[in-house]
Amino acid sequence: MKSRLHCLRLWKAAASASVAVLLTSSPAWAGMNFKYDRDSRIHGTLHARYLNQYGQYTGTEGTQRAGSGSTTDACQKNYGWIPDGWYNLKSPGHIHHFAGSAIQGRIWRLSDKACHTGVLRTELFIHTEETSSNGQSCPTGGDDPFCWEGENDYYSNGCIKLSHGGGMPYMNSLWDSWDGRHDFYAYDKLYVAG
Amino acid sequence: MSLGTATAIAIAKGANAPPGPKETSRSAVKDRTTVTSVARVKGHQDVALDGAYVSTRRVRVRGRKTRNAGLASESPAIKTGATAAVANQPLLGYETPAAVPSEDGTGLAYNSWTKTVPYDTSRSWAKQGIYPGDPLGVPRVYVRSENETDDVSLGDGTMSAAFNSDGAIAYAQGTTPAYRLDQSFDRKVLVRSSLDAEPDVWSDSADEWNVLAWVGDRLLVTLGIPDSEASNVMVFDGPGQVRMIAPNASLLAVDADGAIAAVAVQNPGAGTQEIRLVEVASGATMATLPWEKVNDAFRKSPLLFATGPGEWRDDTLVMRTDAGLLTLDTSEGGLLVKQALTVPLPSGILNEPQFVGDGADLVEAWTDVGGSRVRYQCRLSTSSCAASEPVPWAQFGRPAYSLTQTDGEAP
Repeated sequence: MKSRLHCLRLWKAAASASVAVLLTSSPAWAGMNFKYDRDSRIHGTLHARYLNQYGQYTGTEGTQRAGSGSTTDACQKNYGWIPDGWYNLKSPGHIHHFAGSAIQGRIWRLSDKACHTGVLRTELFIHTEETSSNGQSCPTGGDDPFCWEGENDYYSNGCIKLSHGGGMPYMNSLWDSWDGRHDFYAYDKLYVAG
Repeated sequence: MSLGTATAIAIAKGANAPPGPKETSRSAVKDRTTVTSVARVKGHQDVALDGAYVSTRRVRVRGRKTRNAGLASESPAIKTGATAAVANQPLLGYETPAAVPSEDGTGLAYNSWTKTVPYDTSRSWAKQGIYPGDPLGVPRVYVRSENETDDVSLGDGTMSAAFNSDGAIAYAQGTTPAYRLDQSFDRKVLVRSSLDAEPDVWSDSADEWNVLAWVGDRLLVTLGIPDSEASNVMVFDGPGQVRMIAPNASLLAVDADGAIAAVAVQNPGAGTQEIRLVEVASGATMATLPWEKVNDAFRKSPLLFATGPGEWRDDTLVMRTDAGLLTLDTSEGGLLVKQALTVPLPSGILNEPQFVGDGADLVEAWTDVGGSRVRYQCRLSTSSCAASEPVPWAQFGRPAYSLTQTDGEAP
């Protein structure tokens, strides 16, 4: 009992420490989920939230700018920002080298979600614009799909997009530290608000 | 309200286009036209004009014409009354009509959805005990015709339909009857020569096909792009013979001759890349309008995207944008920006813009406002709009219209 309490105290201390400390000392049972605030199409905020062993938010989080959609109508397939509510992580969950047609590299794949009029949004991800090997392919000088050209790349067809150089490495690092699981399915891993 | 001045800017023509006039670049207006006030009309019925409208529970026909069937009948040929199932199709969104009239105006095919489990879109799937692979609903196309007492189902898993002038109906049908959560709903493209006939399979593979429109004996469809809600616009020349018309694109409309498809080609990330006219028979690009040319005239507030469905009438192509409506002039065989109308909306964008009445001046569209819908009618020549009162979305009648054009002789 004493040793359990001692471990719990240590864990609580770790949970309240800075992110830099947590990156190197997270307990095995910890996890994380995301919260996305749809403040605007290209100035949203993605929160990575550190959870305790009961799945409760500890108050420790990291945030990054993110974008979603080309219109704020969540019922527009292929244009609307991501509908609000809870999302599961759908297979393959989080992986580093997704080799898809339209999306590649580091991703979290999200479950399908109906908007308030029932329109089903599908093929939703948290992703950036990069190659499957996490690099950049910018062959045309225009809008290349696996190239982060700049601010306009925060617009999306519905997915939550992080920048290649900042947002994605940051969130990926937090996930690998706070959760660490890849290629799995999990319930209620993202909450979209706003 | 001032008339929006027609904007003529440089047009670009595809490499396969026949020789035409030299490209010119004329000065453009400084900004696009903004509707500064919207007249409110009480009751959504007062705004809707001739045509058939389908809400989730009811087909209503107003007036004597069935829009886009090109016919005025002495009495409504499509029967009003309750739908056989909930006429709402979650897999299709607003880029495909909720209901399509037959070319002779006597029939109507509408998309429906029957939930296999009760679900609440506002709640987590897991908290409702719904898990990946669980069936959520069964799509079905129902056909209402003057010869049948009841609406006839095309079968479980059917969705997106189009009639041709011979009375044949094309549609997609899932390889499974129900959509299952988080699983791709793959389907085949089928064609029946008549409602009673056995279907012929036109697609060799089951994939994310949606039927759009007939162009003569050819069938325009979309094919979903993996890991994306975007699609390629494709054409079937016949059973098993499919080719691409435009990648990562949205069909805007087909010209009155039934030969040219107008498409909005999208950027890989987001936003429109160009508007393109494609001759369906050959696949040749007849004209293009790069999106940066559209925005050259609107530098202060550039438009992000245009998408279908729209309508092409009297050399005017109307489509919806992220800010309202865009019309292009096709009278010279190319694409000239005619007007970009910004319509102030509480939220969201306009859906399904269609010309109403005669000519190409009055456009009807609608938008979602929270849990309700508002119908708009915008007169392009005066840059003015009228809007209905909000109607709960389940009671709101979406227009029935066809993207098929059969007036001319398509090659």
